Amino acid sequence: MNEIKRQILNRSVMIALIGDDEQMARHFEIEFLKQAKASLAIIIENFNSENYVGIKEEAHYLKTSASAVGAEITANLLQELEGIALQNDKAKCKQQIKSLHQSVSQVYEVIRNEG
Amino acid sequence: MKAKHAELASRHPKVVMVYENADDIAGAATIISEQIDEYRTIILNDKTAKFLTTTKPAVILFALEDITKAIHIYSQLVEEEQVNHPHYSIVMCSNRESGLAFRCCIKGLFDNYFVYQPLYEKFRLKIMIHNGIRRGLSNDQYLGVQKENFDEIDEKLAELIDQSAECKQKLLNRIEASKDEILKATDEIETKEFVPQVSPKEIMGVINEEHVKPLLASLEQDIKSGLDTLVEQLVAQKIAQQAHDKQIKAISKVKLGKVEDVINVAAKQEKDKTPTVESKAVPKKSKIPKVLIVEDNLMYRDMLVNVLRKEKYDVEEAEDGLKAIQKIKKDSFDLILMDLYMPKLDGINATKQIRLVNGGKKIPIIALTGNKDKTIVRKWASFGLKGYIVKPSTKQEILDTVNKVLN
Repeated sequence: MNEIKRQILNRSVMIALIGDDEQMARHFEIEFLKQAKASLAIIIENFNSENYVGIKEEAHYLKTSASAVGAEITANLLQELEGIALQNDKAKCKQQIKSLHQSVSQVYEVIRNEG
Repeated sequence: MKAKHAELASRHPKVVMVYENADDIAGAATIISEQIDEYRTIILNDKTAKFLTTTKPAVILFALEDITKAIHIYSQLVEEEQVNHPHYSIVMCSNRESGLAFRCCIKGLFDNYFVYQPLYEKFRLKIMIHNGIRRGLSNDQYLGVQKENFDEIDEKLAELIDQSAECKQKLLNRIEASKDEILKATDEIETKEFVPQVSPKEIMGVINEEHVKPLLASLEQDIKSGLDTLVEQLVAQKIAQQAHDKQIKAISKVKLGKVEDVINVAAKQEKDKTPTVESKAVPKKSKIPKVLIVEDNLMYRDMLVNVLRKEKYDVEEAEDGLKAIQKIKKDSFDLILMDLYMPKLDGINATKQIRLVNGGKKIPIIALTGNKDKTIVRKWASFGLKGYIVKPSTKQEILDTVNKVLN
């Protein structure tokens, strides 16, 4: 269970990046959630208009933030979504976006419960 | 990469770009809007033809899904006389379709083409727009490219360019005047009813003696005096350069002498075991290194800024390649950290452009990349990378890479 939680939000990644500054880490975690919400909306909009390049670009953008805060599962899903979008496979994209939505919700839960 | 919508509007545009996908034209649209205010992008729909008929722009660019579509749309506009005013047409294409675009231009369908996917040659786009507008508008309607759009260059070289251009313009004016004179001369001969009595050879002889020879002599004088000025300038430049080189040599001799003295003193002090003077021999570098971070992701950019500022670096930031180039033109930097995928201008193309900016050739660049595709990183490295950081990386890795490059 702990290992799974660690993969949802591996806090040691951000500590290694910005240093052991709890307040700043908290700030970036909240920023990530805001960004994820906005990016998910853009990804869904692009999915509805079948703009696969747009999906890939937005996934790539959010992947940088997810990797930086240590949201490892989310970052992996985004990496996969980049590849799936290039295949123009609507069904696979839909499934991946659902998984992505779920993983961001899990990050939100961890931040809210352990803040 | 964050998609940005480029909606640019002018009520009386001289330049219009017809597009289908706003993301595709973001880079090109920004470049044109920097050059001319009377510019507008319009999406291709059932109102496009009416818009072009009403506004009659001097330059029309077609950035459509592919060239075939551009050919169809443009042909239809011309055939139905919805675009029936004099204009300069440019077809925008991907690198893959450049051969087809070239063919269209050779056949005279479009006046020119520009490869905007990927966008490499910003200034070629600018010169096409400039020539297109100049062809369609008078000097009063279009003032030309303003000084702020030029890169900084050596003042003397700028002067030389201006004078050479002036010299060429004079030459062209004289040629034009010669043509007029010859036509006038022929008219005169015809009106004097010389034609029936004089043979064509004799007419040519008269024209030659009375008009062409004096004009050629005058042209020769013009060119000679123009060239003399240029040669004088080049000689003056060379003399100045030689004087400067001599001065540098003299200074280095003095400096070398001082260094030797310092070494001798230091050696003596080492012998005397008085290490306090050592700091005078090797002064510490006092300048704070100035670093530019170019990254479109605001959050990651903030993190990097934070890491470097804590280490007392002077840090500036830019959200894409174009903004970075603008900053580099205004300010000098000791190091650039740059992302690969960015809107408007990506890392590879931004690096290429930076190398062309005055002083940009020597700025060390570190790539920020999450990309595992070594081919892309290798391609980027060919434009001069000093290192790379795999995102997100750690504070220690970032500082080690930065310090290694700066030292």
